[in-house]
Amino acid sequence: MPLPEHPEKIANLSSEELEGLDEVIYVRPDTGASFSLNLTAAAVLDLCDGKRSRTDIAGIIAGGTGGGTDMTRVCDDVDTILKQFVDCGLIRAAD
Amino acid sequence: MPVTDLLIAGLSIRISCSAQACSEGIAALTALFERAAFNGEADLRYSIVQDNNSAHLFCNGQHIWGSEEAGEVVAAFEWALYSRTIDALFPLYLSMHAATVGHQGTTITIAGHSGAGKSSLCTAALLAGADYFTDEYSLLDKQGRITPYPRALQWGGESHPAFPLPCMRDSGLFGEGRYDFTGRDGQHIVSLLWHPVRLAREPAALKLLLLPRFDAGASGVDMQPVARSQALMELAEEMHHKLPVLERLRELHRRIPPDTTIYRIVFSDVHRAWERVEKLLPDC
Repeated sequence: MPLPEHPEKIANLSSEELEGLDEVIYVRPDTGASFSLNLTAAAVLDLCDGKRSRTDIAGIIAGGTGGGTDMTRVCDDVDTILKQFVDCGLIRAAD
Repeated sequence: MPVTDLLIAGLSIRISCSAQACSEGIAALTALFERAAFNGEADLRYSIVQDNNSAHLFCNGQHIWGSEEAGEVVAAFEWALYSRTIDALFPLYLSMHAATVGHQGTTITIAGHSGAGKSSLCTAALLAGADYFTDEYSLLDKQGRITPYPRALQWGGESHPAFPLPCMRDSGLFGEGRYDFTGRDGQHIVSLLWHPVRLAREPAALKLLLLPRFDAGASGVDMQPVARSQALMELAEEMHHKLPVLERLRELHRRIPPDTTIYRIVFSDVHRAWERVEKLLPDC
């Protein structure tokens, strides 16, 4: 399945940041399946609002990591994360 | 009417049985729980009474089951005993679908769905001299301790591929009981009960959490550390309480001690698997 250009987090996804773990656990409302994401992946998921493009998301993540970031690499990393979100059913295409 | 008073994690339970045909099975099922005489009314009151040709099970006055076949009423009693005690003990105790043993100073909880190999690992541990907490209901308190829930170990038949009967009987580590009944399809079902003689009586802090996976095709034993978050997600599937998933995760995260060592163990030979676990214990 190709990556959506404007990814959108599925509705009613519940989440919990468990103290001291530096990870966020998400639970899909339809299946009850749970997924653990590190804080960077969780930030990417939060940015998936159906309006931002993948490039927008990569730009925001790169901005958060400070100057001198290789944008091509950040875009690739974000796409890798988004691919996993698609496989887990955490995002859908808004477009 | 013969009466038995039990204490399970502070919960008082009174069992009255006047149905002679049920008494042996009920005694075998409850043999390992702590006996305690208490005054006043018990928290849970079970009675099994004979009425003409049928035996009837009641809990706190509510009719649960009735049958002409004693074994069927014993099976209903077993289910009602476990499910109602677990419900009554929550939220003081959170019950995980897991076996727990104590060995060489380490409390080991083995969690997994049916067929994952937790009861086999538990039996191998007991044959190695471990103390028995439970094979099915690991009661986790708010201090991260496991409280014993020593129900009888149960085999669904009279043999086990990994543990020949003479090996169990000659070990001197188990007493034995049984009850049988006719299943829905008319099949005669034998439930063989083992009573470990080395029982843990006090709560103990959870130190080692194992997530087993029996794989008949595995060539050896594979043990890998598991991230706490992954373990929490898997354990959330193994709780006996019907709570929303996030609430399960929160409860587990709050209660499981942060220094708990967590491993996944994949094996085909349970005896070799237990040997690997024993090698790990000094580091826990």
